[in-house]
Amino acid sequence: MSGYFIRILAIALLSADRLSAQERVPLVTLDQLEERLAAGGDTTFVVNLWATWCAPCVAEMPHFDQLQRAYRSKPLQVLFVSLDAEKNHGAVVKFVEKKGIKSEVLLLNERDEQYFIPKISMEWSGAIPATLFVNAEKGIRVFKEQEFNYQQLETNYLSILQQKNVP
Amino acid sequence: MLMTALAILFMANAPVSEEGYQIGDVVDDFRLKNVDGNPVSLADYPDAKGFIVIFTCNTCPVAKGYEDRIIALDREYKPQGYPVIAINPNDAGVDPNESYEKMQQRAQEKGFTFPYLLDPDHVVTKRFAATHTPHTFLLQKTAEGNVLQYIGAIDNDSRGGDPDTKFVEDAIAALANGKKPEPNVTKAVGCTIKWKKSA
Repeated sequence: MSGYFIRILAIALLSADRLSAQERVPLVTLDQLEERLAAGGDTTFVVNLWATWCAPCVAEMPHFDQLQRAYRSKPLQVLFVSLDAEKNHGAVVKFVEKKGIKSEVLLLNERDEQYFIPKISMEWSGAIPATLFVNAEKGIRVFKEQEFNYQQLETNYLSILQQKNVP
Repeated sequence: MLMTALAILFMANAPVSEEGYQIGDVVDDFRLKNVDGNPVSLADYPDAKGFIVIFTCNTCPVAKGYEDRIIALDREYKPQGYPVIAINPNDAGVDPNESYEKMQQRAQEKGFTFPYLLDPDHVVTKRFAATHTPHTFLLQKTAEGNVLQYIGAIDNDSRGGDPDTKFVEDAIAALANGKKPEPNVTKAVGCTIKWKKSA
């Protein structure tokens, strides 16, 4: 929760152009991402896999921001993980600023699709948009290769919220 | 308003992956309309040793990024007996830029050297269980029929355009040497298929 507010505050205080590309959209390896998800305790991560070139991805992004806003008092963390090529890092930053994306955005710094696609989920064909729901404490990792409207996204999140911890 | 909500619901609930052909399966022939107006079947190629079937489209930037590489594949491998057969799996009702006319336009602009086929109602797309564009299926012609030997990416750089491993070419080389492709399934980032909305 506080992380989200600090981030919003940071973005509000610093004018966009003073944030470097690396600060606004950090590069992250899959290991770094997985470590963060694993260390999240009861935080439910909603990891949206997207790219600037993917029209249905771009169309559904506001729903994820809306979810983050609606449940800001809950341990919920939306992460937009861009699959744009690393050489387009600057374009991703510009896009995020232009669209006013509120949730955290990362750029996946992995080239080998035979490595990262099955590691994120064996169910993933590679098509985007796709979204991964992770709650380490509850032992939940749910992968959905689909587009979401807000209601579907909220339903998925709430079903995780309502699950009891695994003993 | 309700209809819109329902439409959105149906769209998002469209099938994303169904069981289709597996490696080693014999693939049924199909007959789909090409951009030149004529139907195309695998049976139209009596001399082929196999086929590079690629589900691709007009709009997906990844697929468009592969167009020149697909043309190069066809130029290189058609004379060797493995022509490219491109099929557009997307529904023009969902995206008008996927219409037959736009397919004709794209094929002409890019100078496609291979058929670019329309798949109304996703019939062939579903048989192959294609999930995204571009999505490639390599077939080998045998006495039993056209056997699926490889599923996945054309090469190992769907996003940067600078591959150092060419999966489809390696797979054809393996088949030409009497071997099985290894790997025979690969993954790549691509665009979700635009499924027709349920009526």
